[in-house]
Amino acid sequence: MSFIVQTKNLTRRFGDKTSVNRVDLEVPLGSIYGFLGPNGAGKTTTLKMLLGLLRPTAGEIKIFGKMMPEERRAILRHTGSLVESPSYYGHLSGYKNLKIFSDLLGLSSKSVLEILDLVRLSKHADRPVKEYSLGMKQRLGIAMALIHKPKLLILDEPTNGLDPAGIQEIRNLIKELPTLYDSTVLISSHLLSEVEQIATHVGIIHHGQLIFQDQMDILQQHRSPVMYVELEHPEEAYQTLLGKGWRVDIENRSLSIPVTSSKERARLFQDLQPFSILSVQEKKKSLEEIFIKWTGMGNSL
Amino acid sequence: MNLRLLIAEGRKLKVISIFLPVISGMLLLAITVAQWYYHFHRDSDDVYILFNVLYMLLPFSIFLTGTILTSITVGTEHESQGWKQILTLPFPRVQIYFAKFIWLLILMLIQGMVICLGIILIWTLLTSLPLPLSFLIKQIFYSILAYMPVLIIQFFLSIRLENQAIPIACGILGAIASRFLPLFSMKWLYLLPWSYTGLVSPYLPDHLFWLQVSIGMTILLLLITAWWFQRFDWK
Ligand SMILES: Nc1ncnc2c1ncn2[C@@H]1O[C@H](COP(=O)(O)OP(=O)(O)OP(=O)(O)O)[C@@H](O)[C@H]1O
Ligand SMILES: [Mg+2]
Repeated sequence: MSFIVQTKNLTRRFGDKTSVNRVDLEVPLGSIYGFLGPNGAGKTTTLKMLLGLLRPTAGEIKIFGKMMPEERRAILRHTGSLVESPSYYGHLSGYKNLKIFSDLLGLSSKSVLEILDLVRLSKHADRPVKEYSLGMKQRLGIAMALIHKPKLLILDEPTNGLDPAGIQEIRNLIKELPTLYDSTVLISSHLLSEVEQIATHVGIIHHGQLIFQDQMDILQQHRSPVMYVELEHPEEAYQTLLGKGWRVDIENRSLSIPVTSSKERARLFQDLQPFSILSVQEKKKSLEEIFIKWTGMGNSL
Repeated sequence: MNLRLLIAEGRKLKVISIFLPVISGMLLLAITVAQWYYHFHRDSDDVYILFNVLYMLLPFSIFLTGTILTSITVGTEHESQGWKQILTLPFPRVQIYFAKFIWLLILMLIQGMVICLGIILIWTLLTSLPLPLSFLIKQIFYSILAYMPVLIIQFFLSIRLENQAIPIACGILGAIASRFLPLFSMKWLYLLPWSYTGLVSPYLPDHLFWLQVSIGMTILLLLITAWWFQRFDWK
């Protein structure tokens, strides 16, 4: 397994507050890695260290097998980033903003037009950026990160401030990147639902510590399914199931029963046989619930 | 130096950054000529008093222009959140620092050019006496060179403090200090970079010494601040 980004013991302290604590990040080649954590967990601090904007207090960073910050330029040449809010010169047009960066990177003028097209800003290319809407600015920021077709794309909460349509659009764009440019994407978010929809791999950071890191599928397996059963005589069924030792809840004439295996599910149906079943639904625990269980946090992530 | 970076920095400049040195140069010319007329009519028939007037007013103009230019240029970068973008480009940080500094120097030299050409024009239009051209050039450009250490200090403050009110206040205080420092008899005060512009006028016998001091100080401060910029944490 080759990792595009690999950190060992990565630590950053601000004064006596440890914002990032011994983090061993492992971002596989070609993955879309969702870097999850609530506000103040240390996501931005970690990403800034990867980009050489902040120096680690301890630990090491390897990107493309090269050391940061020793081989900073070699790493940055193939890295695109959008950290927190987009950077733009408001008095210049979107086109000019991108042109300055493409010239700095030695790219052709064609690459500017291409990227404007990709983020669907071609129509507004000649307007000064200070007149752009928040979503347009965000897309310009993503365009700047993508203009040199980077092998690694680092996005820090890229959908901040976007409307649902904008979020969907960015999400689709990010999903295409591994095939479009052969990129690996490292994307931070505080929304599990968002990461769930695009990520192939997940890392969860909480109070500066990485508390989970694996494939998305593995995280999904932690979600034990719950059966929702509607019956003609729910009260009777409820009592019977309780008597047989099931963990069962009753709500609006329907029962909910967690099951951990297919064997258990078969046993459940057997026990429900005597009652006429109207409908059966299987639902998985939401990622939020798992996350709350792990971190002991309330709803407000 | 990296030419690409230098060109990119130039294209980012706001129109005002280019107009400011031109306008402040013309403003200085206007005040200088007004003062010159005033003195000329009242208590002197020496036309060459123009250069005394210029000597009196030039440092103040240079200090204010430098302060505002630096704050506008660096402020644009803070405003646009541009630092984290340029600093994640594959260029040595030091080159990025120097590219910005060189533009400040260029803009200051534009102001010098405007003043220099303006005086030549006014002189040839209004008098028929020979113009001490090399004296004039030395007066203006030595002063600008001698201002460089202060420009670097302003540059550093502007980058370090996001809110430009503090660097601008420091710049104005510095401008006032520059007017008085060379008048004190305590010679150690002359070592402060704010004194140099007043000390490099070709009127003064040891102006070349102070020019050398300023150039030395420029190099020293550039090295120190570039080292700092190289290691600075962008929070
Ligand atoms: N420059 C700084 N000085 C002091 N403390 C800081 C600094 N930057 C970040 N911190 C602290 O480090 C912790 C992590 O901050 P960070 O910005 O990395 O969080 P985050 O995960 O990106 O949060 P968010 O979702 O709100 O963006 C916070 O507790 C924050 O207060
Ligand atoms: Mg953040």
